[in-house]
Amino acid sequence: MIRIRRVRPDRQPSFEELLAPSGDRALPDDGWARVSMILQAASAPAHPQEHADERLFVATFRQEVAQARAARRRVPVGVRRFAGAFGGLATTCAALATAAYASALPPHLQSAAHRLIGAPAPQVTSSVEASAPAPTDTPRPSLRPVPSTPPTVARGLPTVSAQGLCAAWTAVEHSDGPTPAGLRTALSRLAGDDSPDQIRAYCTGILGNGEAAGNGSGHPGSGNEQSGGRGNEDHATTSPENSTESDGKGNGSHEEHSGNPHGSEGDHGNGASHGNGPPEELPPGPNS
Amino acid sequence: MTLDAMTHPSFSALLSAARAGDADAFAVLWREIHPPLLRYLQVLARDAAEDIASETWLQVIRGLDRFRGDEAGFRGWVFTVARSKVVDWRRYEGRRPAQPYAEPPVVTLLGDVADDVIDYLGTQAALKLIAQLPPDQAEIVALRVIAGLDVDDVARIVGKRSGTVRVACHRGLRRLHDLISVCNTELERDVSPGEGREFAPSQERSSTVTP
Repeated sequence: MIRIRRVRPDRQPSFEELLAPSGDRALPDDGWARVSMILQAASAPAHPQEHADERLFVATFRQEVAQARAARRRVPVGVRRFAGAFGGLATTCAALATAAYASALPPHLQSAAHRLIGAPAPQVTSSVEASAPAPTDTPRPSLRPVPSTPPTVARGLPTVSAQGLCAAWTAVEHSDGPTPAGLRTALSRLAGDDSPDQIRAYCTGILGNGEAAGNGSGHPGSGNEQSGGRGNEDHATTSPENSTESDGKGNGSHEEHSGNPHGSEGDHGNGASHGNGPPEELPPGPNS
Repeated sequence: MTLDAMTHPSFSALLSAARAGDADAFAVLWREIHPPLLRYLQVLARDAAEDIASETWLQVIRGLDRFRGDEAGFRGWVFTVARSKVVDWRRYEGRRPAQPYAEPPVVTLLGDVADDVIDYLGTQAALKLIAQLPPDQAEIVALRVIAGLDVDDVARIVGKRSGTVRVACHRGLRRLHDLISVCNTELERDVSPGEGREFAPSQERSSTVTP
């Protein structure tokens, strides 16, 4: 049988009494004296082993201090903020300039960019066009630029139509003079071949359609001033935009200008026959 | 544990020098505070004490510029940091699956327990005895005895009221007294009168304190 004798002291000494040196304390019993000794052992002066890592911690301290100083020395806060603000501003300006040159800004900003940095002027909005009723017989000139390159014209010759070129080619052939190099180059591009025969065949087709539908004469420009020939004059001298618009102007068939070169020219001629001119002035065509 | 070394030169001068990067000043601070800090951590975290002490000092070094206060405040701040590290360590230990490890060595106390603690095992055995108290009492006794903090500082560190700290310390000391009494009683029971107190270390008739 195990008997455990637990000695309960009548009075528990205070914390200060337990930590006091042995000569100054009056502890109630041996148990508290042992507690006092344990507490004094726990709070004993440092042993050498407990200072063994001093060098390691001091080295860590030096390293941390050096890192903190290096971080402080890098860039001042003000400079960093200024650089950030400047970078943001530069990015914004670049984006605005890009948008301005792409004509993607609102009109008032676009006009300001046009004045300041020479960006394209703002496009006139087609509010009139949008609010106008559906197009009638007489088409209105659009304020908005229209895609100007007709499919019949090569990219290098945006201002000359095929019919005008063929008219010039025919005139040169009739005059037996030297053929301008640019004219031949342009027509060879349209005809798909460099040979004069091919160009001649091409132009015959072009002008033949126009004559068949238009004036019926073999000479371009003759008898065209009153009706379809007016278109020839315009084609030879005006820009593609104008040629497209002028075709509609002359014959009232603006929407019909599409498709292949021959078709468009033929449409032009056909349209001319149904144009605004008096019917009695129309030259006799093969269809009539 | 006194702060005499921290007062010659004054603590404020030492702290200023340490903030300015003076490693010698930091070494003085470290020599004063590290031993009690390590003992406090040995009571709370046993084998992880040295790792936690390293983390504590790292945070103290990094936060040295931000500290404002006197030497008692500095000591309390260091122990507060250490306590937060212990809390983190306990959380980590709680999440980590248990891994088999070697049994810690059994501390053998021969004869009178207190005498053995003082004579043979000294401070470490005393710390292990204190660590046998309930955790809150062990922490408060360690902070009061080892760190040398007063009741208010301890209350601030552990987040309790001063009265609660006083009661916990009182109970802890009484429990320590009872623990020693029980050990002595067992010894008295086991030791035959003829043998006296002559014990060989290999004898089984000894009380054991497991860390």
